[in-house]
Amino acid sequence: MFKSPWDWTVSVMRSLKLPALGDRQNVPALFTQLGQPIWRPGSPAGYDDLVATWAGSAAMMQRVELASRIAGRIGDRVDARQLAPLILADALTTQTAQAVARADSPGQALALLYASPAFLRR
Amino acid sequence: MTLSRRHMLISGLTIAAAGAVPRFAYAAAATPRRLVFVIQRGAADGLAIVAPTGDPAYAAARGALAEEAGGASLNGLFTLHPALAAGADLYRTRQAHFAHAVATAYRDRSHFDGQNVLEGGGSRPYEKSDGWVGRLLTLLPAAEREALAIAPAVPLALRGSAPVATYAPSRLPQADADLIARLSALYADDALLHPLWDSAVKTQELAGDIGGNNGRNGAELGKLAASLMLPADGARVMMIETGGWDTHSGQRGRLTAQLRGLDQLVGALQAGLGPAWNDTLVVAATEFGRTVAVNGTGGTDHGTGSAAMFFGGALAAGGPVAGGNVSADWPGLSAVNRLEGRDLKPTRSLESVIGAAIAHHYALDPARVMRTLYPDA
Repeated sequence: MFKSPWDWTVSVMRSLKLPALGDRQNVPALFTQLGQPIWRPGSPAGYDDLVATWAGSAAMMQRVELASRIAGRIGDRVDARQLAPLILADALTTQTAQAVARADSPGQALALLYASPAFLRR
Repeated sequence: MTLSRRHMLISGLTIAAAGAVPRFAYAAAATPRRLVFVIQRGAADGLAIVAPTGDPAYAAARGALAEEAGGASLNGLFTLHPALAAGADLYRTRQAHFAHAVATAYRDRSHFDGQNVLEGGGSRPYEKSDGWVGRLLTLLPAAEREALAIAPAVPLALRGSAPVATYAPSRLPQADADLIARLSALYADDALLHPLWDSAVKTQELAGDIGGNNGRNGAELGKLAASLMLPADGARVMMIETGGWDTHSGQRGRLTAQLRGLDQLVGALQAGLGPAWNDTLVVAATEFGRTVAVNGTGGTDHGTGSAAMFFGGALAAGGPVAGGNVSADWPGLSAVNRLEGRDLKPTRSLESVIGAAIAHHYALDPARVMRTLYPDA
């Protein structure tokens, strides 16, 4: 199952001991940008839980950009190589582990981890 | 940002009432000196940036990459990469210096650890929790201590006891071309993500790294940096992040784009700073170099020795990184002269080159600068 923006953001925040977002982050605006505006699902039925609802190409890019922004803030204080097996456990593939280990900076490694196929799903 | 000298003077009464010592007014130089540290994350290939075309082993050792060396001839031994057009002009007018075959104390091949040593200034990774630029701030007069990083958070190099501001322009997308390429590889076998990502990349206009947009991103970054450094209460010490130097494949095109961006960045800094360029030192350095040999995908792999670049109007007056000069204790490129048979052998420490340049720029005692910036060197 592809994570909703809410699932994904919460799982990023839970994976870190440091605050993922800055103090002055406008969280409602962030969720609007990610495609899940808070309290405004656009239908009385609320947000659904279907892959097709959340797995869109623009939404993917937004998520990667947010991952990259978080990584730019705290990437050099977190070792993504150690974090990967802790948060992905059995879902950590060799490709993802290698991509993280071969990243060109600690920040890029963290962004790759949060944008990895396993982390995008639950 | 903290209070500037100008603010101090204007609000002199308040300051005096608060009991502050008014020595700022006398200690500051007439035109404050400025420092820009451009970090090249990902291990930039010094052998392609400042190509040792006069080395007898060069053409054979570099293979296909040797053909790109068609830029400005610097001296009998070195040729500048053709994408560095502003850099060549600065070299001609003795405002650029290149230090070759240099490396930090780090001798392994991890970007993480190498950048940590480059920024922290220690002799081993994770030894220091503050950085060499941050420690330099403690040696500077108040009027030259205002520091700013164009980054979402303070990079290790700038961390220390002095306050540092950060500025991250939100309109510049953060996902750079290199990260996008790595994700494309990671999603290649994923039936859901592969097509989604393909269309995301196609529709996204990439403008996140200095190499993108035909170098204009670099120019914008340089212009922004200059505008933040020019005002009387602006930053005096600046750090600029650049990524995308990890050219394992297709190096020729990628490095040309990167260098075009860096060249425009430096050009925009010079233009934007105007007369203040004469009191500015720009240092561009990377964590380590790349292999002498070209790999099977037209790229190079993690190496050791690389080149550092210095720019600024004051370099024309001479000093340890005198303009219009390449400094190198050149080890030679033939296999026997390489480190472990594969890398450019570093013959000088990057720490000593940077330390000497900084001491000269700020007219500080070189030994004191080295002790503060690089206590283990």
